[in-house]
Amino acid sequence: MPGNPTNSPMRILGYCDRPNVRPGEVLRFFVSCDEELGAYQTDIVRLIHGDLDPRGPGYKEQVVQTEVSGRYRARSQPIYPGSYAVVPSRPELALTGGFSIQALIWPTAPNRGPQGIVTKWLEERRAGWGLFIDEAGCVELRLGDGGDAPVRVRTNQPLIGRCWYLIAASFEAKTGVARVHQEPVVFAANAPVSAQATFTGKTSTAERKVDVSLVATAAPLIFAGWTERLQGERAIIAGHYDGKIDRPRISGRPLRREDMWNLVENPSDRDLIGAWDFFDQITMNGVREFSTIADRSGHGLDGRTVNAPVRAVTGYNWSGAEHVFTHAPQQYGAIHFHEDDLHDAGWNADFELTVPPGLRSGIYAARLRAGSEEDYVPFFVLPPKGVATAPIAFLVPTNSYLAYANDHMSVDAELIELATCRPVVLGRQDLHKHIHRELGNSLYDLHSDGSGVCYSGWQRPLLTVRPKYHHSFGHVWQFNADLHLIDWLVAKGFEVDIVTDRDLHDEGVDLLSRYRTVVTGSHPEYTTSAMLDAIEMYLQRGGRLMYMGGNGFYWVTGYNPENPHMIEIRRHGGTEMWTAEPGEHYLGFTGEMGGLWRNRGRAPQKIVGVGFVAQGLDVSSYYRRKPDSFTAGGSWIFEGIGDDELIGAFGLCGGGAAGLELDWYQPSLGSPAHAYLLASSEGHTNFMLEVRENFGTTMPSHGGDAQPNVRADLVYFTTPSDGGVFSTGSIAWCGSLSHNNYENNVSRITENVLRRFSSEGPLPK
Amino acid sequence: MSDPVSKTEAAARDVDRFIFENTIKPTVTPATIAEHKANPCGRGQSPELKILLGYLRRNPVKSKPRYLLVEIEPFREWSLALHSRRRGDPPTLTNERFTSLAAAQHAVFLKRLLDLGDPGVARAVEQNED
Repeated sequence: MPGNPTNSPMRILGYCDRPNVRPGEVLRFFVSCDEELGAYQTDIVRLIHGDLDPRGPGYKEQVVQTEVSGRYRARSQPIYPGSYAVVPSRPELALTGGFSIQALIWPTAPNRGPQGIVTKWLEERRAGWGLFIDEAGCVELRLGDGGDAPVRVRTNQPLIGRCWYLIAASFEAKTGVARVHQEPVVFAANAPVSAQATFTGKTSTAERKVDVSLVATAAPLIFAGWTERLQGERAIIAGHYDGKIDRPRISGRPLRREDMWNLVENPSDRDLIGAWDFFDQITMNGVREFSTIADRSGHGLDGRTVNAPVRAVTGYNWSGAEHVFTHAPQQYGAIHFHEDDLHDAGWNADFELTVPPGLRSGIYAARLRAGSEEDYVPFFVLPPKGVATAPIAFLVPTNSYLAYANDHMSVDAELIELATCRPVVLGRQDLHKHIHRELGNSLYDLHSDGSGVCYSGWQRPLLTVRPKYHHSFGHVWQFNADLHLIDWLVAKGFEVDIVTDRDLHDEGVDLLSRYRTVVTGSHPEYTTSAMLDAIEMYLQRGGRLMYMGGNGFYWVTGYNPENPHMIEIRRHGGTEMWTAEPGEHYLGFTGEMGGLWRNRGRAPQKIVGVGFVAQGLDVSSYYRRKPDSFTAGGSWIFEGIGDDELIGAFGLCGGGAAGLELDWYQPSLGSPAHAYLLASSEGHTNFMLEVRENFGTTMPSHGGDAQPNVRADLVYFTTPSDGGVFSTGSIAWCGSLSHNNYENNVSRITENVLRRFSSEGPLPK
Repeated sequence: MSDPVSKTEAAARDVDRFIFENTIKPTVTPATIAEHKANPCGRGQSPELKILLGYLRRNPVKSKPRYLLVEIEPFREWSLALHSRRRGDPPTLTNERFTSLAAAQHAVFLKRLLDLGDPGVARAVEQNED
């Protein structure tokens, strides 16, 4: 890329409507291509190996002839990020005679510039009404008659960030009196400062007579933004608000302060136009109607949220005593909106692929090319429903791909180089997603208002889920790292079906039971309870699992009840890039406690024998054989390998098979006593650090050069009915498979296990 | 009375100055610099170099640039770039190009040493260049 990066390092981008598709089903693709490029070529390719590292086998793909191959007209498609709630325009919302609007708000970026709170405002005509935060961070009532200078009545006390306020505005056309009001609603637990001792927020009211004739428009009612313009049926929203809104109400006449407070908890009044209690959608199983907001006034002014603002968050009245939103829904009546939320890019479809009935299950992509510009849109072709077409299944960790999707760690996190141990390297995907924040965030990022990102969805270009992509950490990671394993399976001639996390969640143990052996990816970190249940049942029934990575089965993960390809997490209690707010540790999608599975009594050691112990991105190391590897029950795994051989002192991921993130065998966390501890890694540096959930108090010597806990353990054990588990305990393992043209001890061990696991004979005990 | 963030940053700066003078500065020698050039990231680094890297990698001088590398051609060529420090703004590419990552990493290391603004450190860098 010569010269300075342009504003669009990638001029063609795409996504598809879901990751998993069966033969005969239709997959839709959405493409945005710089129109100056004229047209682009689409081809479907089967992905084999995606790592461009010249030390490895190099890039491998195979073109598959399908109906979609061909040239398509370039079309640029915009993305409109920023969440809001919308209620369609209705005559009773015109309110030209007067009104009162109120909401409780917890602004997280009140100084960012004008933001809409409750608006029926059409900016292109400067018409309508609305309650806003103005450019000075104060509350503003805006009234517009379509003229050049809308009426603005404002308080004179800037809002303090992350503190609750009742804000309100009223207007009476007959008298011309317009009033705006804000008052802090700060208690012991709902603010970041002491309500009693140090809070300095002020009540402020402004009132004056104005001369305006309100004009009704077709703009919808918007919470957390305003309507910039109307594009046919579609309202383009701007002025996104960062923060929470709780209990918004609209009345058809000006109300006194006492009347407004009455409406907060008792939304009934003869002139009530609309009242929304966002906790209405909370059930014991989470916020199941996730995008619904319902009007309590009887006017039926129901609406929906757009771009997935966060629900199941503490409201103005959260006391700090109850931390489970399903137990006290009334204290969780808020929605947290962000100017950079994105659910679905919402592009128009460019082509549809009907997956050919005979197409082999595998990892494929739509390859999009226009001159030297290129993007890939990967997808996973499953076997036909209800059948297996191979003895082995590769369980693609699609949740983990979503978790890391479009991560901005290398540019956003000031201290990232302490972890990467080298200056970060930005490739074109990194530059593009850094400049184009509208592509949305990963679960490792913070929103622009500083709050952690807890949702990630598939329906947007995911530039980290790409072949040829090298993570700015200095290694391939997740999707492209898992292609190391796919390439090895192809090289060794194993027939494998592809299934995804979502399929496992939906179909449970029945899916796995069709396979003699199930193989995981290199970093299957994000797991739902249904997935864990299915894996445990599979093992109990004699299934065989090869856990081919590190830090797996770690975070409690839930699916959006309205979108099967959007996940949620709430980070707390683990090794994490952000920590959820007090009172917000439970998943809104499901109602269950988020955080680590370990902290919910389901440590990964109980299922796969090992669990997360250390991470470090500088260099990887090797394993040394342990006594169990020489026993009758364990030695078969080392057939062809010398007693003193170091295992995996080579590889594409940091130069060794033990690296990046490591797992250990730990009986106190549930590792089976009868497991064979075959080998352990050693020789890690002081930048490979033990995870923080391992120690209650801070102590020195957490690095691999001083702490013996810092190691990867290679483990094998049997389960009832001749099942078994083999775990590598390291993300870097698969990066060593191709060394020396696939002839090496990591490859040999993996092959010894996979051949035995996928054969009919019993497993050595 | 200054704002709380400035006060916090000033307090941290004072402590970091103490850390620099007492723990970090003694590690900056021509020998450490030469060691970094030979082994900028990896196993076998001396305790002094590890201490120094732990300090430099956290960008201790906030008024100085945050350095990045931008890939010009995968696995072949990289450019030194400066972080914009504004969310969404592209980094600025410099004219410094490298055909080895180790050389790029060492160049960033030297810049950070000079950014410390300490005459003794600057002398050590100069001596190393001699």
